[in-house]
Amino acid sequence: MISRFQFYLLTINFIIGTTPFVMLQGLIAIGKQDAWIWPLLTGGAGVLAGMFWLLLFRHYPGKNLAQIPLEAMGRFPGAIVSFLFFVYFCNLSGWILRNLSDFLNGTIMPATPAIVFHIMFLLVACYTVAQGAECVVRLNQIVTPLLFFPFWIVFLLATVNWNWERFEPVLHLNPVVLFQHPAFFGFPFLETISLTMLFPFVQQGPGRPFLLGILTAAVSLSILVFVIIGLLGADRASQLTYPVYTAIQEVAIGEALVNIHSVISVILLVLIFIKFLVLVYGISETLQQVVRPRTRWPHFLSLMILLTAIAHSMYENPIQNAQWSEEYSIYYNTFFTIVIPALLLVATWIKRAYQKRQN
Amino acid sequence: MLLLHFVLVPLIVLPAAGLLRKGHYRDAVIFVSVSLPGYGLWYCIANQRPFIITLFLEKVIKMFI
Repeated sequence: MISRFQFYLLTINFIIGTTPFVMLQGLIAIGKQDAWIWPLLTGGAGVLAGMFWLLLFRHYPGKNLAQIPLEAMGRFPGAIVSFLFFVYFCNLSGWILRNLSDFLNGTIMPATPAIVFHIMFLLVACYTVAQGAECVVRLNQIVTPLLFFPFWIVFLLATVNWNWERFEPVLHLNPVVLFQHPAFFGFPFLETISLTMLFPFVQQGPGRPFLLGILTAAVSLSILVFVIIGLLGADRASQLTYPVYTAIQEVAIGEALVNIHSVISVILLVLIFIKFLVLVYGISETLQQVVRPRTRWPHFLSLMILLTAIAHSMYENPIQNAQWSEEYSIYYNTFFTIVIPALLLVATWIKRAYQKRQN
Repeated sequence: MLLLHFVLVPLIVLPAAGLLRKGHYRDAVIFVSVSLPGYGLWYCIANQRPFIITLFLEKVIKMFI
């Protein structure tokens, strides 16, 4: 079983996961000096989505996202819906692996083949997931202080480059502009549906830690964007591939500490790994629930073959990925995280009404 | 290309054969079913003509919007 505090921490780290790699640059390019407000608004939408999912899960206490379609729709149609979630989790995992290898190849390890990063991450993730959900959550609880304090201490050290003029003019942007870029509502908050795979393990109910975790992550991302704008300025940050990394790269404490950005690299890698663990657990558990295999490790091997291939095939390059995310990710995420759960909810209501009438 | 086959074929065939030998027929089918799409994607990557998933999703989404 998982405590509420453990699940709260997992929710925060899951949302923050790959966001510093994928979202910040695009967000600052559009929001400019007011971009720090947007995570708060999109986080609010994330909380609404979370409440919607909790409405569905209230009808199925003790069940996870892979089990609910089987109960709501029956064995065969439910298996198809669960398979769709399996595909969704596989795609997300492939995206994460690819984001990871792009980051490492673009910063500290340019000569290492991407497949090496993918296999190493997958080996450790599959081993961790095979130990159970509690292992994933306890690992997250242990590493969170080791991530939180160094991360913000490093940014505190970077404030030597702070300039308040980078926020001028303040509150200048038209908020309607955010709604013209709905991609920021989809990523990363709608992806938190993956955490519902761990709902059955949370003691005393997952609702409150889940929603509080989304809110806390939204505030953390807002603060992070605020700090990046203060350190680099909106114009410069929007043109950098990894503004978080660049902001820390320019920090030097005398002539002794000049490679502090390596600390950020490790922290971001661990955050990615935590998000990846949740998704691999989701994939493994969906497979277990739908097809009920008797063995364990051969299926981890098959998942490794599949996920490494998906990672390489996910997108052509980071620019094509950013364009796709800007135009289509909201439709993709909405289908799996809003449309399908809505269908499950409607199916549940119809089933309950029919059973009531029969009784 | 040959390297792909040398690496992936044993990784898929040997565990599947082991599962069949132990009588886990369903597990063998599941294993092969999950591995084969991965093998197909890797084949396209090795052929320098990768199947780009986001481009495929773009086509599917455009059919509906």
